[in-house]
Amino acid sequence: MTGHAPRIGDPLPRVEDRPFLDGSALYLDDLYSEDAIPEVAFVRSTIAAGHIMEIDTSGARELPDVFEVYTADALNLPGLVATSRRPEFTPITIPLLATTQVRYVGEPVAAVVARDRASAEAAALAVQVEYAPSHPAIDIDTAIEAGVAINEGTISNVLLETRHWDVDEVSTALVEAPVRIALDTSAARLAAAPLECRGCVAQFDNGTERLIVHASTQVPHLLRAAIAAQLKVTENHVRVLVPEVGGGFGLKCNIGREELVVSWIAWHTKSRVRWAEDRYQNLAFGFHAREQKYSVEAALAEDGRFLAMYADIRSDVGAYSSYPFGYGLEPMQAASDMTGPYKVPLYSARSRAIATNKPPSAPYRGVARPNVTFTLELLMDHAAAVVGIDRLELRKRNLIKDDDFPYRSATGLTYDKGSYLEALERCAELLDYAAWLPIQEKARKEGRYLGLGFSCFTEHAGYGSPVFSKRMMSMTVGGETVRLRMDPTGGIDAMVGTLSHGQGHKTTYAQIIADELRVPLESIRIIQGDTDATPVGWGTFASRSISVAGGALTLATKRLAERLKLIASKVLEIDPADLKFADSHLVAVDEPSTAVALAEVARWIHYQVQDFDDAEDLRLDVEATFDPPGAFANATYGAKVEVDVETGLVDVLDFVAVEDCGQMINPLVVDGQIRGGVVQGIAAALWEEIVYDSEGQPKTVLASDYLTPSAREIPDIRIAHLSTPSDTSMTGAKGMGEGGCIGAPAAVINAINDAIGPIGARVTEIPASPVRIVRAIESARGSMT
Amino acid sequence: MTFSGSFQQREFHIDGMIETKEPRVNETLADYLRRTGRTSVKVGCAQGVCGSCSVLFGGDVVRSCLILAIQAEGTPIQTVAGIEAESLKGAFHRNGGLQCGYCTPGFLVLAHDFLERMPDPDREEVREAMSANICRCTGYQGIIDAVMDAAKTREVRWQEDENSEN
Repeated sequence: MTGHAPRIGDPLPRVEDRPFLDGSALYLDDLYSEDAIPEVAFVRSTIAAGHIMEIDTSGARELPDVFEVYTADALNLPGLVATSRRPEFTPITIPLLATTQVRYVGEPVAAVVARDRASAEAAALAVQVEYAPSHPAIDIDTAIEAGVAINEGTISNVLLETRHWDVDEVSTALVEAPVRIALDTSAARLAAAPLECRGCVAQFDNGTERLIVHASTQVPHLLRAAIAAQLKVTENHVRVLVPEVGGGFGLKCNIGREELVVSWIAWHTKSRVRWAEDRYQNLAFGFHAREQKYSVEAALAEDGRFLAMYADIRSDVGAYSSYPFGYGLEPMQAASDMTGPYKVPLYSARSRAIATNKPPSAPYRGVARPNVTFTLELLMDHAAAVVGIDRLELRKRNLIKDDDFPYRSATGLTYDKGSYLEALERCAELLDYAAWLPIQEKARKEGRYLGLGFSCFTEHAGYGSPVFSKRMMSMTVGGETVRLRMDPTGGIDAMVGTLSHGQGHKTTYAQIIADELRVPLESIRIIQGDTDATPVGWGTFASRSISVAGGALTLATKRLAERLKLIASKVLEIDPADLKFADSHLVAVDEPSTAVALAEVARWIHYQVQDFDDAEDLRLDVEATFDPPGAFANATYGAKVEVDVETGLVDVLDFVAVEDCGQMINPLVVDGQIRGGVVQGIAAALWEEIVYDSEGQPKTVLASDYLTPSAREIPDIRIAHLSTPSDTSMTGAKGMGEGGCIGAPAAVINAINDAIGPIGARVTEIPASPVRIVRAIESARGSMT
Repeated sequence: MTFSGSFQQREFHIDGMIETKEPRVNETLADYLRRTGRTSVKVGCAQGVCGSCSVLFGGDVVRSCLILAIQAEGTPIQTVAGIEAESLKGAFHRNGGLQCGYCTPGFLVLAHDFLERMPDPDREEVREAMSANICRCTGYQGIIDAVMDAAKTREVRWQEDENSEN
């Protein structure tokens, strides 16, 4: 086999692209598209809070093509519960179908199985449910003050309240502060809204008496575990297969009630059934994220250095604890990551998870860090204004610097080496910050309001159990184990427990292998998404795959390489240390004409095993596990905007991302991740918002209600890379997939505030919709007259 | 009330093939195409917003989720499988124009039609045209780069053809 052998760092177009371009790649709903498979539709609560008095399924059962209608008593299943050993965490069980109460509009109450989707949906509408409604708590303040708790087993809607770290010292420091500042921010509820919604096909396999489940998921083994737990069987009774996945962004890390009900139905009826979520369900009833309020106070020295900070964080987590990550994730991460890339010697936080009668919240790309960064970076600009120094200078005085690494934050996180200062300086340079003020002033004289805003942030990623174990969940997400095999003809298979859904693992993982073995990408197959075929893994989320699975692949490749050399050394009668990989061969370092093809090496060990004393130690089938502590990638983003002060409309004119994720495996893939994340971040700053009315009815129900941007709203995003390799990931790579979401909102809002600051206006709420901007301007103008 | 009725056999022209089938009374063109095996046509919203279901309908780009199957009787329909788009696909591949791939067939149909009508666009014209469809992964830059790249490749090819005729 000949062909170009790529390296780590090559900006290669992806090997997996062809089927996607031809349209032959199969996603969940494409499987069996020509077959008539019974479909499941869910009867869903039409009220946000209340008791179920009666469910009358007779009308549905009478309809043609309806096979069965199930309610909670028919299932009699344990439900889903994310648990933690932390004393402040009260577990909340999600019943698979509502039993006596409903807690949000859209909560599944019954499941209908019918011949096709239309019949199932029609039948679902024919199920009559009688409710005794009660008054829902739809927002944080109402929920905190409500007399009755939403969830069973909890005394109030404050599900979690933690107070951390240097509480007394911070109080003292705030009182004694030379300069004291405060800021309140709030962020709207968002939906991850991947283009492909959720879904699954569950089939009872009569031959093996197992359940085969195809699902659009980011976490195949977690799904298998959850299904097996509900069915009360050992996990080897279930096989989860994942076809191509049309985006996830964290949404598909959740184990939903629907997947489990559908699995149970297939298991119980020994048949095959299908469920597909549509866009309306996805927006109106799906997992949401990021609805938080922050109140921060800081004590500064006269020169703007931070002395202490206090944060009060309230997270609206919806009506249940999503599984597997639970309602503690956003609140806890917000508290622990609040100091960002800055040196804040004293810090304390109060963080609360508050239940409301809305769908449960769950991690969406970046989790709490987009809001943390938005809040912290607005605070930085505010601090600069109060102290009277340039906002970049203020940041420079507070950024963690070279000599500070490794830096242990007040929250106990250890920051590895990064390029925080360099990224800021480079970003300022690329936006020509030095020349900004006269340009801005000139524009204002012409009646145009231009603004420039910055955002400095870190992304903690690529970690295994060292970080996850601190959450003390009943399931600690660990590292990854990969299996690497060479077949008798030299073909290479790598079996991984992660789940690429757009991140290009089939190319990037192969680059890691090819870098060592010097083979073309076409000789490597990356196998994922099959719980029978791959080692048990955790899936793809938290920007972990390239560092964690990539690290395991590096180790496994070295192991395979060693064995190949040992076998080849016998063929060529040369010391293994004198051999190197080149062009799908092993070659004598000093004598290039002395070589053996890897295919020949593989053939020999497979078929002439008698020639080896230690054949079992030379088998070309190895495993490796990697469970790292993780690293901090860093970046500085800058945005240039124009604000129309009459309409509140914002044009993003320019966007620069200077990022450092250590060693890039494939720059094309990295740039794609940055740009995709930045656009989601700009959207969070300006347009996206999931809205409920005071009765808890969803208002954002159409794709045209939820404003995901098109190409027209987005400028070209300029990217510059710095590189501070991680010394704990095998390749030097740091995870970076969420950075775009984390840093972009802050840059845009700081830019808006830079534009309207001269009018005395400021926005501290996202999305900064036209209405909110106009109100901020009117209120500033009003207070000036 | 029944939802399972069908019309009688009708003639459909899909990707250059003629077939005779019974369209259902309640199915969209997207549904029809998908259940007859053309799964490159994706349903991202079923509301006509995202454009993942884009096909050519008598040579015009339409959202197949907004057209009833019966309305497509007799009109040539092209999915990504029915258009000649090798160089456009190559451009998407080289320029990071896809990540999860779900929006890709729709964008290829959109871009193919755009370049047929406007073979020499500037970047802003490409951006405007590509704003018809939603992508959640790429941030659009790779898609715009791809269409600009494809336009240049066509330009080169036409110039070569012109030169060879002289």
